[in-house]
Amino acid sequence: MKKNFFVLTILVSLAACAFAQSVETTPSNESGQPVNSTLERKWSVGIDLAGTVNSPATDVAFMTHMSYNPRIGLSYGAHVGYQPFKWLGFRTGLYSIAKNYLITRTITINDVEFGSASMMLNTYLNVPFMADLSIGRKVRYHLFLGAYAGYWYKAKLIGSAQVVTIVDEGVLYNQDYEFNSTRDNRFDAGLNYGLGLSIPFSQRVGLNVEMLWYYGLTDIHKVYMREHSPFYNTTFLLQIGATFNL
Amino acid sequence: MTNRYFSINKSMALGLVLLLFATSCRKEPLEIQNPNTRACNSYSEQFEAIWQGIDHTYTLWSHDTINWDARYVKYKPIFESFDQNGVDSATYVNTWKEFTYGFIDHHMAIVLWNPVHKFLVGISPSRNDYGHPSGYKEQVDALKLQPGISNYVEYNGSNSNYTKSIFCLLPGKTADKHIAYLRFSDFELGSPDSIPNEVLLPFKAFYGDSIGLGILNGAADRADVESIIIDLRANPGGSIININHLILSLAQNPYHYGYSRYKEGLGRLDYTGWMPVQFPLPKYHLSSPKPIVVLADINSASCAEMSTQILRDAMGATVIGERTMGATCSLLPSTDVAFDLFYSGCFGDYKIYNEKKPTHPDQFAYYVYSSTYDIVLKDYTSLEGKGVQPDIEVLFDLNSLNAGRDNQLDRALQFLRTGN
Repeated sequence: MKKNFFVLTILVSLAACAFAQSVETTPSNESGQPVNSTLERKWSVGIDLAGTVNSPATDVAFMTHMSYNPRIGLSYGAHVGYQPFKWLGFRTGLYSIAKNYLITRTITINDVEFGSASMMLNTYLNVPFMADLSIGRKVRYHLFLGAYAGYWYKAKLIGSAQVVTIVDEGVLYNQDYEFNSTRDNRFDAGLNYGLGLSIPFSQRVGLNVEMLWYYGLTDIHKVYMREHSPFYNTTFLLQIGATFNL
Repeated sequence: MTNRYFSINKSMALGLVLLLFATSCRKEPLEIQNPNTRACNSYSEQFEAIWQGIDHTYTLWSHDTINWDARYVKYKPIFESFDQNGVDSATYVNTWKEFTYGFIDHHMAIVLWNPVHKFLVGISPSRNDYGHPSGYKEQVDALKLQPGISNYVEYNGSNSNYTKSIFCLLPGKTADKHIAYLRFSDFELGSPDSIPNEVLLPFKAFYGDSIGLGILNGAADRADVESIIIDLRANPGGSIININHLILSLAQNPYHYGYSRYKEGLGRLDYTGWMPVQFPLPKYHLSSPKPIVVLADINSASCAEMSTQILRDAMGATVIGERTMGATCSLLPSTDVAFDLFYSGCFGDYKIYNEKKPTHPDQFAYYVYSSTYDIVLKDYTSLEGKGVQPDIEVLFDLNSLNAGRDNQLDRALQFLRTGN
């Protein structure tokens, strides 16, 4: 969590500095609107594709041979934008986002390493709602701040495990995860933030490249036991998309 | 320009502040000590350590239905009062029995030591209601004598302390046909190479000389043997690896028993995926299927129950006797390594398990013996706490055995000779 704070603070500070410098130099017309004609169009729609890296945050306590590790995945979706001011817009959309993670455990017995690994491939449907603060003329630089809500749509469990008593080691399992209503909190919500840039190809079409974070604030496990260990996802997206101005 | 600049910065500052506040909304992780190595200096610490261990590593939470958190809240102050006021040994043991009563894991045993009373006491939370009124030992002693076996054609018995096993050929439907009867008292055979020959004699008679590989020139596969009785009564189980050659050698195909999983995380319901539980067909097995009867009862546990299920499901065997105990999951009991590899099942002072004494007699100590794996059948139903139900129920009768008659074996012989 401290690491996330640090990264977030650095990013926001850098963006704020860049923004503060550029507002002094960004040309505008008499009405205060930017020269860039694409921004005269208030509504836009777009499609996005992203690679994701999800970092699970939970505690292993005494289970020191076990670790929860980040895992990559894919995200795709569509967004709608509204730009009431030249420096401020809003964006929402619907995204399918992979929030995967890997659980590994390793132990060395008589110089032989034993272990197991299982991968949770989670698919979330997320609806972000972000403020889009932007600067620049031809190329515009964006700072996104907002929140999201969503639903843990489906999951798959893939892994290998030590089954020393029954069958050979390294048995693989690859199965759809069956949600447990006692354990799994399928409602998902948290913060969105990120940086991006947009390059207009024409008055109607532009390209977006963005780095976004989905910082989960909902524990993915319900509190169904007294000594509950919380579990959060933080998902980074490196996203590319196309925006169509209406 | 100034106003616009001000509004931009104001918005950003507000957004940033809200963001930073919001990121602190995550809950902090718990402080949980390792139940496998935790030192305890009081009744309440011992209670807390055992509870935390069970809370985070017990494998069968998904099957358990009792509100254990409420039970914990009720008993925690009672154990704390023991620290203040002391407690006599009977109250101490009974309080533990009350607290743990009802865990569905039928392998579970909690072994306790405290430096005040200075004796080890074992509690089996799920077994208090089970067992024959006459008791397990009386049943084993009576079965050992096998009073029901009289008119045998061949006989090989072993009553060594290692394992008790009996093989005999009994008359079949006709004079030239026989029923092969095999009883063994547990599945702790280990490697056949390491077993005294005297112990192996009944097995060699039934399976042949290569029992580690299955049935090769043994009586079970002889042409004059028309059917088979496997007697698993009062068999508490043992090493699951022995099911391969002792039971699967009676099959014609490898067998998919079901699925297993173990814990994966601190949460009670954090599990691995389901892994297939499969038994390979031994190199040597019955050349053709034969009718099989399994004798089982409430004291048939663990591997004996799995074997009963396999014999019925894979080989069409008829189960005669009683329902089995319902301890159908499996475990790795003996080392710290197993705990660190699985974080499921057994934990505590392994010296108590291995040597029947605590490592530090001046401290409060414990060893919790519990299933490492949750095992279910192919349809994902669990036999834990339910056992295998018999096809023909014949209740154990100690008086009958003492009078020289085995009513359950008689019913099995009748079934194989008449088909009813």
